[in-house]
Amino acid sequence: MGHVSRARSFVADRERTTWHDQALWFVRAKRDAAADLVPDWEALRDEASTIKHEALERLPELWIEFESQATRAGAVVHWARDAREHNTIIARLLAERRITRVVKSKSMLTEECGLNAHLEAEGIEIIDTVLGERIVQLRNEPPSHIVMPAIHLRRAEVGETFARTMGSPPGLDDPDALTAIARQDLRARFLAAQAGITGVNFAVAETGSLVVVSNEGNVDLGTALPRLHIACVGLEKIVPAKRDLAVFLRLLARSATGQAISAYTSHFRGPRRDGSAPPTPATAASPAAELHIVIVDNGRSRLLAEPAFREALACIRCGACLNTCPVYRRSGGHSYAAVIPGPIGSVLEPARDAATHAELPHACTLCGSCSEVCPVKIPLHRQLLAWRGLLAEAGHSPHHRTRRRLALALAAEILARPRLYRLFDGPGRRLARALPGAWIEWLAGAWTRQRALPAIPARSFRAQWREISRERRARPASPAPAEATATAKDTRR
Amino acid sequence: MRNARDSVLAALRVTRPAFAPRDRRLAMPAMPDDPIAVLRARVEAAGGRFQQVPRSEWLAQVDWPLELATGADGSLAPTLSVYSAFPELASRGAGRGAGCGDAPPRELTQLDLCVLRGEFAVVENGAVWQVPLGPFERRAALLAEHLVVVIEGDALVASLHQAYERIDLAAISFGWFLCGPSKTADIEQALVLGAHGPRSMRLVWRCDEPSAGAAQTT
Repeated sequence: MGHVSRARSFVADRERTTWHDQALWFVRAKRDAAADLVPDWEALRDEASTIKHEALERLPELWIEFESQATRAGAVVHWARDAREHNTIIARLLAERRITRVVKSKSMLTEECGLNAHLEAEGIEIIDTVLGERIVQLRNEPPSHIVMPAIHLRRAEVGETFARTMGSPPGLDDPDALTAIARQDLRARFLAAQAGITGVNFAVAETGSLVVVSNEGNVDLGTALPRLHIACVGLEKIVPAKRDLAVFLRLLARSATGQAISAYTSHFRGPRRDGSAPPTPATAASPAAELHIVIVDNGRSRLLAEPAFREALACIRCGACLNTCPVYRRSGGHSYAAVIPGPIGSVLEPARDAATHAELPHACTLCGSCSEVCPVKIPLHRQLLAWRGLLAEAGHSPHHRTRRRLALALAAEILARPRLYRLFDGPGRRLARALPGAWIEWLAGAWTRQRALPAIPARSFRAQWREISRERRARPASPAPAEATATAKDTRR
Repeated sequence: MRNARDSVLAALRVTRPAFAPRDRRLAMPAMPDDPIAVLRARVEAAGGRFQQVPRSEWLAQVDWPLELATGADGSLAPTLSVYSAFPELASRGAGRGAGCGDAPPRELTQLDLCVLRGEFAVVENGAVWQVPLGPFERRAALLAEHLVVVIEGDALVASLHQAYERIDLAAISFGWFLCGPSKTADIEQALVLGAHGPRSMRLVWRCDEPSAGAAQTT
């Protein structure tokens, strides 16, 4: 089952598809309005792209600097080559402390690594705390958007989910009331949690600081209450210096949701002590808080080696390319069957597993809107086009179906030889006119369904041209200049 | 076999592109002509409230989120649970004040109001930079139903660029920009204030003169 058939089941619900499309376009419009209020917006995008390029060229030095600074501040730094190592490190940290109750704030990296399933298998309760991600967790679904995890659901479905899992009154579908129910349930879990796991938006090499943003305050509760904070960070998240944060934070929320900044932008350096205040008897009495940072490669160093795709590592996960993508808005995040859906996912996922995700670069109209809104100027649509070529060469392209390949090979032969072309012109034309409309989909794929071929004329262009030329020759030899202009116009029409 | 750290770093050294330093050309954004109007608009866009009050009578002038004031002097209803970074507020009849430093987090869930001292506000986005005095204050800011952050007369910067020039990240273990109350739109994009943290947030700007201070900017 591919993207097309998964998208088909999403668009079958026309009302939902329309709502989904419009809701995301509304977020895109908010992004535009927020960007318009920043006079130096384009210069800011250039600056962000520059900083990321330099960072990607200096990754080893920057991470070593980060490690040394973070360690000096009292954090413990771990390195993971892949998802398995990442999950093993976290499971070990929890097991060593006999921790069984964990709260997690949204992190695409832990989704990528399949952390929840790994910890649950070890008997650990892991609770997603962003409302949208909690909703999809209760439904045993993956998030359908990297910033708005439950954007594929309508309020009544959230109400049903809460009624089934939390005993809320059936039929409740008021967002305020549903949010209050989730708040109450999660507040208790925050207070009971023994560890908080978070993602990281930016790791600052200069100071060893981590920056994490949130609107709900879940990142902050999950790190302010439990004794243990585990932060999971992909290799691409490093920025060289403190001053770079200004550039990315001015871009991030505006690109993501149209907010000037998120409600919470938290800066962590070392384990919880808070401020510069000396430890009080109260803080000294409780066991020392811990910060563990897990730095994860999981294919990123490999992607760095690909000149055509390495810029995708500049992504700050704002989701703007999803919101603007005409395919994503209409097909829904789950149609991608990938951790990260939408344009950026369609670039990143084939790098992880080409065979599974070969179809994704084709779930794209090449309209280029994603590249236009990207705050770090990743040339997304060019990368998607590049993937199509690479995947075809590797034999993964959907256009490698035998009939399509034969048809294209035949067309190439005929089109390259004018005599052969003339020979096939008449019979080919008659055949194409006689075949039912569905043949083109059989041959060229599902995207032809909404794209009818223009009616094939009975006579070829050559035949029509010959006729026009004959008519011209039959006219008076030298028309007046004014008439000549009129004739030219007529012909064009 | 090499350990994970060495093998990740080794892989990066092989695959990274050559370093080419580039020019940085971004200019510092200037302070807008009317910073207070812009700041107020940004705070309100984030679901917060903004208030400019004279320092001498700020307790009475602040439009408190709850029915705190019981008299003309702004004294507080003793039944409310309040965390305050300002001793004058805590001593005015608040049920709980800054003195309850070792209360376990669970007690904080009954907190009605948290009043914090902010360091400065960012005009361009309406955020206020705040460094909690300790773990207790950080939790109080999240667990209280309502949040008030107070900044002083000259504490405005134009943008995050100027903000980070003022912040010494190496000197603190934790600090945050706060902007508006905790919020979510994860159910059908309907905005709900009070997701996990406070349901309301007020940014209070204390000035020596109610109308002065606007020109004092960094």
